[in-house]
Amino acid sequence: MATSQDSSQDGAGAMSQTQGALRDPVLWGFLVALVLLFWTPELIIYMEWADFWIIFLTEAFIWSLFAVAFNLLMGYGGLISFGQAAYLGIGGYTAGLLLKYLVWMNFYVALVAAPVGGAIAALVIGYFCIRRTHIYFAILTLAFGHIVYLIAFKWYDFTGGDNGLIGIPVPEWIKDPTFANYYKFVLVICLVSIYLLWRIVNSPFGKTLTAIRENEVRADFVGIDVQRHKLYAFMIAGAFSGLAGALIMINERSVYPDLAHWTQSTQVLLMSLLGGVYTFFGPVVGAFLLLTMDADITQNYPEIWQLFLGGTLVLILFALPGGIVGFIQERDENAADDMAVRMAKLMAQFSRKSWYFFLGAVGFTLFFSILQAPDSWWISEDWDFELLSLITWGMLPRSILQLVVGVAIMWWLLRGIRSYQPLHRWLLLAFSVLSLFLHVYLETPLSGLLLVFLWVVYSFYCLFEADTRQAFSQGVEVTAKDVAGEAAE
Amino acid sequence: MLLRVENVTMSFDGFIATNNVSLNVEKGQMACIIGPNGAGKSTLFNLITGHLTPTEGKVYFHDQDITGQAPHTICQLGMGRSFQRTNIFPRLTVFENVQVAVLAHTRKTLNFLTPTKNMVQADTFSLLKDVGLVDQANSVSGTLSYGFQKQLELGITLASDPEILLLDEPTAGMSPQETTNSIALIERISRERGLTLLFTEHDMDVVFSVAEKITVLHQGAVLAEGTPENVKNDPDVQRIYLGEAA
Repeated sequence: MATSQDSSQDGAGAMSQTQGALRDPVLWGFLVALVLLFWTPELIIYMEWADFWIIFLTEAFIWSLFAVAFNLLMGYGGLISFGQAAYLGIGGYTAGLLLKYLVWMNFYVALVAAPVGGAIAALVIGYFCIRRTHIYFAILTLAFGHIVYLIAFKWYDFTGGDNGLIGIPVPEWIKDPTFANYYKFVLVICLVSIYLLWRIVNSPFGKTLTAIRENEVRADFVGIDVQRHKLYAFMIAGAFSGLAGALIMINERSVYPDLAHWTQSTQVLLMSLLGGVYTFFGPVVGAFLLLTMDADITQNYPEIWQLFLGGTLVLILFALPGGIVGFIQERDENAADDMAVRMAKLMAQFSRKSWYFFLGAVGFTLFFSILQAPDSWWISEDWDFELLSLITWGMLPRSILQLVVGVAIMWWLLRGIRSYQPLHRWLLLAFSVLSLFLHVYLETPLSGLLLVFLWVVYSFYCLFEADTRQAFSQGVEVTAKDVAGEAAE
Repeated sequence: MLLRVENVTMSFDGFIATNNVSLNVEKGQMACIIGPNGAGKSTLFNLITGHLTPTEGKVYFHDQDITGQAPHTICQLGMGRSFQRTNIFPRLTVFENVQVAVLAHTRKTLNFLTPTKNMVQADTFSLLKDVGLVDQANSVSGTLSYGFQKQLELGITLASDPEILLLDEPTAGMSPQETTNSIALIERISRERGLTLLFTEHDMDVVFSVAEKITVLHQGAVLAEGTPENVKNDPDVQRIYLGEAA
């Protein structure tokens, strides 16, 4: 009866969809990121640790995909799964077993089989799990995850047990000595997948999932089939997790039961929490942050890695309960605010958050300096002190310099920002980039660098918004209007 | 007969919450259920809307047996429901709250790739206009005042384009001013859309000004039924219900 009407509506929707896609800033963002990151290996090939960096980025992107897929359940669906690593393992083993045992198996077919395997496993496991909620759901996912792990661990004839599957054949082009080919392959797959997930969370399905998270009973009473939507979300997360698992397997050319172990599930949970559960890109930031901290610390002190992780998590959950991206996006908004009040609030928040970032970066840098060179408190070990080369300064002089110079500059710049001085806005943007380069020059540990980088992105994002641009182009007029408005009331 | 409840009994481990209740609501009628606390009003609502399955008895909607069907199925058949305690999606904006309900009604929720932002915008805004929340469209609904949240809940309920509206204490916790506004809103909307109304209410002024037919529940059973006049003059009702209030 309503079919003809529906199809005509869908046709119109498809048309506006293709037009809208070109105007979608997120799509452009993904394309720019893809282009920039695609040529990274060529840019850093002459660096000392080029292959280390390329492998690091490869892993970071795979984990980002896994974390975003996981967060579809946790952040958008409110389904806290403690067994997400099961699908990582299933994806890895599906592709691995196909490639290992079937000589004629095409590499790409095996790669496509991994997400299909993940989705089918999620369909079966999810069918039981979604019938329970909250803690029972979490425990069920944990239990099923452990069953998957034990199958991989104990079934020697098929999975190789704890010896894993080794020597899985992969195409020749993956085996290049610079690791750049595989990096590019992973980059394209992960960015496309993350973009797909972005479309999914912003689609009617994603919105419905959020509604279910917010209020399951109400969702049921507006006519949403809650269980069915949950199951589909579970399958989508399972499919993309499976894909991530296959990518990890190909990276290592082997697969071990550890891939499906529950510690991997907690790892991805931490990534989401660190980055921000209620944000889409939070898990990506979390994945990068966790892996950079891992790389920083395990170099010298692998034994305290867990301790440090726990400490950071406690800190984040207390100080930034919304995670890092949640902290960046947090806005104090009131529908009744006019432009002047909104801008004043925005700038006060910008100023406050900048201080957080500054102290965080200094703190992280100092902490990692202590870890990496515990003896060089005052001067560097072999006394090749040069006034102009900051790297030869000891930790304390360097940190004090960072604090004194940084606080002075930041205070002056932020004061100008709060009174809408256009010059200060440009200076702050320049200063943020400058400080990024300074940190690179000082060879600051990765996590400190990542925080500075996030601050740069935040500054540019915040200070380039249309409203902000307008406020700064009007100079102090906004505050004048603000005062006039108050006087009128 | 639009809604027919036949001899419904619900017992929770031996405790009988509703006992052999029968109820008929005609199309276009404004029916009200009253009764002291614990009389089984909310349980009856849960039985009708599918949240609970009755131990005995049947519920018919449009002469179709809907006993024991899932709430979302019953909702899709054209029965809208609002709750005693406000029941919205608190971290979504007002617009998104209604939009999700419209999407659910038009069965577009299994679309995985189209951006939602511009979908069903006209429908959503016309609903927001009906319940007077256009100015609040972009506010996060959890931060709204109680009266606005109740209005929003009505908007969400209307999004599924129901034929019958089941309102559980629509004015609970409201100030007299909010109550007046809210009742005026509900009356206007049900008149405009030709809705059938079944509601519970504790405010007797509201009950006697709106209801065309009143059912009195007491200890899970129907005590009296009829026009407001009949119920008002019923000696049993006066003894149990009004006497208790005095």
